[in-house]
Amino acid sequence: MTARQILTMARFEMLMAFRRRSLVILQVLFLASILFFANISRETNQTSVIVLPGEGSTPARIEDLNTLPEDAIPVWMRGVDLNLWYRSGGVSTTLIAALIIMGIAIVMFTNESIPLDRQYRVRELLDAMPLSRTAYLAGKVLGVWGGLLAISVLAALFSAVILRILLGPYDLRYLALLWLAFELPLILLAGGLAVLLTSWTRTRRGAVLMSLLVLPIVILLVALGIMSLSGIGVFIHPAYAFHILLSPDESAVEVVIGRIRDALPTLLGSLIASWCLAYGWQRLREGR
Amino acid sequence: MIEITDLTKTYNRSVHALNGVTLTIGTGMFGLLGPNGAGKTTLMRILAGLLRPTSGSATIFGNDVATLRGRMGVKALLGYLPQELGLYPNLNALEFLDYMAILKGVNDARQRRAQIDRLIQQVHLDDVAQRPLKTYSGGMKRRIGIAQALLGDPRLLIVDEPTSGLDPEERIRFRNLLVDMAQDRAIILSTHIVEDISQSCNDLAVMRGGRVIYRGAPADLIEQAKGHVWIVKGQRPDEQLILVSSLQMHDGVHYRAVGDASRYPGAVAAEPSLEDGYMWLMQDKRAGEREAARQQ
Ligand SMILES: Nc1ncnc2c1ncn2[C@@H]1O[C@H](COP(=O)(O)OP(=O)(O)OP(=O)(O)O)[C@@H](O)[C@H]1O
Ligand SMILES: [Mg+2]
Repeated sequence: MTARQILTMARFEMLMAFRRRSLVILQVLFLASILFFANISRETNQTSVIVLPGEGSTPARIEDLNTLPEDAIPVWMRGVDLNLWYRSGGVSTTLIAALIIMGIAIVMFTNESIPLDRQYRVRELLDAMPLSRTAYLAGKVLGVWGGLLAISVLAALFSAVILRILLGPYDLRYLALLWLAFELPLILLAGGLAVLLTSWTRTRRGAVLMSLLVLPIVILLVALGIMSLSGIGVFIHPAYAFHILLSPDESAVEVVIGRIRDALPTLLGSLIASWCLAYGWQRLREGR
Repeated sequence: MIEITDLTKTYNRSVHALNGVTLTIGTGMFGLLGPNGAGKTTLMRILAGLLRPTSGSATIFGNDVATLRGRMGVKALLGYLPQELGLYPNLNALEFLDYMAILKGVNDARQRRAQIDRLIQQVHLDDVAQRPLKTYSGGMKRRIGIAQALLGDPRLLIVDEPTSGLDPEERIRFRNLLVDMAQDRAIILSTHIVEDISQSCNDLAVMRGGRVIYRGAPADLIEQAKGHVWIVKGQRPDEQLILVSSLQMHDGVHYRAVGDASRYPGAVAAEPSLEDGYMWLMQDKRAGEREAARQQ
C-alpha cells in the first residue's frame, strides 16, 4: 500500500507542477541556459589553431588534427578522433555552465511542492489519510524528481541537436555520458535538497524566501559535484578528461574515481541530512 | 465504539481548549453542538488522529490515539471532513477523488471508478466533474469535501460543520445521506445549524468552554426547555429573556423568547424546539456561572 501511495503522490505532484506552470518554466530555463552557453562555446571554439597538451607540441590547425603524424600527439591522446574530441570540449563547457543556471532554477521552482499543501489547506486532509511521514516525504521528493527527469530528457535531446548545429560533429557518447552520470545526478540532488530544506515553510512566498537561504548551499554542493564528476570522460578515453588538472596518463581513471569517492559522502550525506531535517520537523510539529 | 476519557488539550501551554471530556459514542449519528471556541474542532481533530491530546485517552474501535500506531489505525478507517477545507485548485473533481481514494487504500481501479462515479452523483456534481476545482463555488467545494470523506466506505466518519455553505436542498440531501449511512458506522457531526441535528441525530453532546455540558437525546434537551419558551405579542421582552426570533404578523410583532415571560400580558407558552432547548441550556449555564462568581 505504501509504495502505491508514494507513486500516486509522485504522479499527481508531477501533474500539478505541470499545470501550475512550474515545470514549464523550468523547462524553458533549462533550454535557454543550454542555448546560451552553447552559443558561447561556439564563439570560443572558433579559434583555428590549437596547441595539443604535452611537451614540445607545436600549434596545429583544427582541420589537420586527424592527419598529424603520430609523434606529434601525446601518447595518452592517441586513438581518438581529435576533431570530435576538440568539439566535445565545447559540449563539456556548455553542459557544465548550464548546470549552474539550471541548479538555481531548480531551487527556485521546486521548493513550493510541500508548502503549497498548507497554503491550499489540503494538508489537513492528507494528514487524516493513512499515509506515513516517510511516504509523504518520499512521494514529494519522487514527484519533483520525476518532473525533473522528464524535462531533463527533453533538455538532453535539445542539447544534442543544438550543439551539433552550433559546434559541428562531436562525440555523442560523451554527451550521453555527461547527461547520465553528471547532469542528472546533480539535477536530482538540487531538486531533492530544495524540496526537503524548504519543507517547513507554509506558503509559496515563505518557500521562496527560504530558497534564497538554501540557494548558496545547493550551489556549493553542485559546484563540488561538478569538480568531482566532470572528469568522467576518462571512462570513454583519457583524452576526454577535460577537467582534471593534470596531463592525463594511465592513472587518470584512478584520479577521477578517487575524486568521486571523496565527494560522494558529502553529496549523499547532504541529501540524507536534509531528509532527516524534514522528517524531524514534520514529527515535531505534528499533533501540536 | 469510541471511548473518550478525561481528555484535555492545551494549546501553547495556555489555551485550554478541552478540559476533561468524557464521552462514549456508539454507532449511529452523534451531534456536537456548542458556541464558537467550545472545543468541537479540537475534539474532532484528536479523534481523527491529527492532534495529540495533552492528557486523558481516546480509543476508537480499539485504537488508542495517544500512540502513532493507534493514530494510523484510526486513519485507516476514517473519513474526515475538516472545518477549513482546501482542495488542489488545478485538479478536477475526478482526479482529486481518484488521488484521495488511492491514498485511502482503495487500490482496485474498477472499484475506485465505481465509487467515485457514485459519490459524484450523490453530491450532484456530475455536470462539473471535469472542471478544475478552482472554478467551483464554496458550496461545491464543500460537496467535494463530503464526497472525499465518504471514499473507501469508512467505519468512522468525522465531519466538522459539513453543511455550512450548502444550499437548503443540498443540506437536506446530505443530511439524509448521512442518516442512511449511519446504520452500521459511527458518524460524528458538528454544526451550528441546530436543525441539522434535530433532524438526524439520536444522540448529541453540547460543549462549552472545553467541557461537555449536556449529553443525551435531542428530545430530552427539548424537554428541559418545556415551560420556558414563550410567544410575547406587542411588547419587546427585556434583557432578562433571550429573544430567539421576532416575526412581524398582522396583529403586531410576535417575539419568541426563552426564559420566564409569564409576567408579560398576552404571553403564551410555546412548544420548544431543539434550538430553544439549546438556548435554554446556554442561558441556564450562564446564570449558574454568574451565581458562582457572585458567591466567590
Ligand atoms: N492551533 C491552535 N492554537 C491555539 N489555540 C487554538 C488552536 N486551535 C484552536 N484554539 C483555541 O482552542 C479553543 C477551541 O477551539 P475549537 O476550534 O476547537 O472550537 P470550535 O468549537 O470548533 O469552534 P467553532 O464553532 O468556531 O468552530 C478556542 O479557544 C481556540 O481559540
Ligand atoms: Mg470548529
